[in-house]
Amino acid sequence: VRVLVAGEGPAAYHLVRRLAAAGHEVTVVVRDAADASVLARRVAARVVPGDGTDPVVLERAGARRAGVVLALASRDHENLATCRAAQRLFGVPRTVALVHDPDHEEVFRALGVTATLPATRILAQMVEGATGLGAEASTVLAAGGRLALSEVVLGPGAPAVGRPVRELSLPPGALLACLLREGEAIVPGGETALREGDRLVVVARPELHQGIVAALAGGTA
Amino acid sequence: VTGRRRVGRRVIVVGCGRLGSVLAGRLGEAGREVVVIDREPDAFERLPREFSGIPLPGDATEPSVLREAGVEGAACLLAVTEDDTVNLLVAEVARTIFQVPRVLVRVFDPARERVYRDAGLETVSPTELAAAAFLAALEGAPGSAS
Repeated sequence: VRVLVAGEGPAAYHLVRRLAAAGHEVTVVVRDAADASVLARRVAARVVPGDGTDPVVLERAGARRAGVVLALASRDHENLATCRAAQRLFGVPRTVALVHDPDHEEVFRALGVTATLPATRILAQMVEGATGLGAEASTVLAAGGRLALSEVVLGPGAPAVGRPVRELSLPPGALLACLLREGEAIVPGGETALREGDRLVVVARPELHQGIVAALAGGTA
Repeated sequence: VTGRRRVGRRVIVVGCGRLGSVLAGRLGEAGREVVVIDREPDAFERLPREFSGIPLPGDATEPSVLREAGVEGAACLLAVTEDDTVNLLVAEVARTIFQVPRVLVRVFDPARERVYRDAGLETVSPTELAAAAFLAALEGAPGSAS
């Protein structure tokens, strides 16, 4: 697949390296000319200096033949502009964007960006779990970013402890799919009572994650 | 700012540069309730001294800033910063999240303008307007440009 990447920084560099090593034909658009020449020496990809939101630059970088456009700039407005131009002017079938402000995910999805990478949101969740500042919870995305599997651990005093599943105040559209208790996977029914230490896996839209963690584990997550 | 007393009359101007400050001033004179947003508080010095509206410092790409500006009761939003891509994101946030009835976007780059217009945004391109004015002046009689 021909992949066109717009953006800079360590995430863009390491992703381009991986994609190129996997045999994909990668072109990277980098705004800064000095960064571009450094990158060109370090990765097996074609490097085009220029503004990755500019339709003229994207066309020069081969946007018309790209199967995927990956927008990895550090500003959401740049990534949206890159994806919009790729979709609308060049008919690129898949556009994938890094989204820094969690509030923007809805906008990117409404505009038909194929998949969003919610960098800040995932980082915040991992930080909360790792530092003990919030509930121990994590999430992985499925279905092109439109669904998430949220894993929540019930700590002492969590609101869900001692309650049967049917009494949980999960947000509408969230399904408690499975739970892990003492190493055993249990598919819960409405009467299954939850215990401290249970690891719950909930399937829902990604933006419901915070509400799910709050309902099950409490705290400020 | 979030009061909804005069729902439907409020206009939000994003960007208080040369264009935004003039628009905000004129709309205020015309009796509209104006909130003008800019990331740079110094930008508000461009507003006319008698400006009756509200200057709001902040990044208008953040939905919480637009909410603070009273976007939920606004009739219209004008995205007129110097940056086409910022204008695009602000306009799409206004449309998608807040369903603002009318959103106008300033776009310098004619190639980008097509993208925005095809997507149903109302655009104004200073580049196209200037080109049209120059061409009209060239085709008119000598001296008619003035």
